[in-house]
Amino acid sequence: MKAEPLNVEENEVLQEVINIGMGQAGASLAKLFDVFVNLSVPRVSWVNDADFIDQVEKLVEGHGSSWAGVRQAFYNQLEGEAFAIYGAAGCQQLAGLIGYVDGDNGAEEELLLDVTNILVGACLVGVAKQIGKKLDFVAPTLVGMGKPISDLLYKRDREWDQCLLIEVNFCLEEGDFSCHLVTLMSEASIEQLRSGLIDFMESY
Amino acid sequence: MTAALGDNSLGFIIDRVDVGILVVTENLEVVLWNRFMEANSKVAAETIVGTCLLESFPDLPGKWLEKKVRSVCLLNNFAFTSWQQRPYLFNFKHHRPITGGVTHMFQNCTFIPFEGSESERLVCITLFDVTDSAISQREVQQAQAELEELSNRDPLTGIYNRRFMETELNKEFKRVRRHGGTLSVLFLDLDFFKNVNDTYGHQAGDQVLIEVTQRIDGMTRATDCLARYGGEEFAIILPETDISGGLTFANRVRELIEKTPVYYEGHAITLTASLGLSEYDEGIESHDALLDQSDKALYVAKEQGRNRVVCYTPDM
Repeated sequence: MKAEPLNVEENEVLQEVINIGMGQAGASLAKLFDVFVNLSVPRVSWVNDADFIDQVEKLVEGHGSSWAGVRQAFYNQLEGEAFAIYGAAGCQQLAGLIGYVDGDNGAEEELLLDVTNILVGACLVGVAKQIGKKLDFVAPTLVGMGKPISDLLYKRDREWDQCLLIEVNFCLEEGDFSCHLVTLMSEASIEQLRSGLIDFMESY
Repeated sequence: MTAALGDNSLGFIIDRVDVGILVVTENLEVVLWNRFMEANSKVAAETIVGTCLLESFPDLPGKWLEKKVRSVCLLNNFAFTSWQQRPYLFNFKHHRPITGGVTHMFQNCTFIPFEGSESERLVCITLFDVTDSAISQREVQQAQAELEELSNRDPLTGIYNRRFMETELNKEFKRVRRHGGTLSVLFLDLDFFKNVNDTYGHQAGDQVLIEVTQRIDGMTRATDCLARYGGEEFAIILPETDISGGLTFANRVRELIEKTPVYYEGHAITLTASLGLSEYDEGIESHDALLDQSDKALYVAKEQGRNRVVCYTPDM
């Protein structure tokens, strides 16, 4: 069964709900790291399974060949997998900022996992809360570090057809770096998302 | 969660579940300490509840833990740690003294914010013993490393095989093309090797290959790569070596093979070898082309009467 894609109006509401969620994420990161953090307005789009890799490669095109990827599963009424992609420069900046200075690989990996957890959590919990859906998380895991993007994406879940692509840019005091956040949701979740969005619209 | 069970029952489950459960305040004061934590730490709940966690466990990464707990309170979101990055939070003994081969219990932790308690922020930490997974993963990694090593080796002689050599040569080729320097490739073929097999049998042939390999191996530097290319043909990658250095080395190898027979069941098997040598230059397009040049030089060495070293020239 293929889920009906969201219509224009539903997508607008989704964009709004994600904006609010990511705004909260930015505020949280700023509080946590004690620095000015600005998150760009996220760009939200849907892609088909077949176009997934192409789309993500387009996003990161021309920004180097060294990337880190972290994945995190979520489940309950909304279920799926989130995938965060970071450039090499961004990883270093984050590490410097948060004071992981001991050159310990484990520490840098842990930092990426933490930041992903915070971003994914803030974004999806934000969405789920606003549309009144339950959501839980599994611990994030590292897919790879310092690798070309194609090496990171091959493990993606092919079970679901629709991918929700959320592109966010961080702006830290020290300079910009990008994080690309991709989520894949099951067909059932997209129906839940739709019903939640419709309820959300009607409550206004 | 339904509360068909009474509070006592829930307390019982929390206490006895085989997962570490502790609840702390934002300042790391312990509020709950279940039996798993008690049993593994040897610190009783009565002792620790109401005190700061770090008093009983000075070895904990205090600053990190404070930050973690604070972030969970602040963001009101779950947080996780995995044994792959942080092997353990609490330095507990593991329960595999016989089969473990590890020094501590590997742990995955989840930090859960309490919802709704505005006055006092609480965080529940659950701690899972994942020593079994950690050990299995380590075993798999070891097996993989061993398999990879095996897949690079020639089973008879133990030196590298053709596949590995070509990968290495490709790397060396790229290195020298980017950073400059010298690189030579030597091909070696034992002369009339078929006669050894026909006269003394295949086991004698195998013995010859093993001994010749050992002799050449004894002459190579750590950075050289000696590989069995096929049958009785060997290839040696000589990084940081120009044609004259390569020629000196090749002649030493040739002389050693000629000088010392291989003894097999009372027979002294005398041998000679033909060698082809070529050196990298900027006109060579790929590592394959470099190999091809050495191969051509080897062919000429055979043509000219064997037991000799021939350097590649463009007219070959």
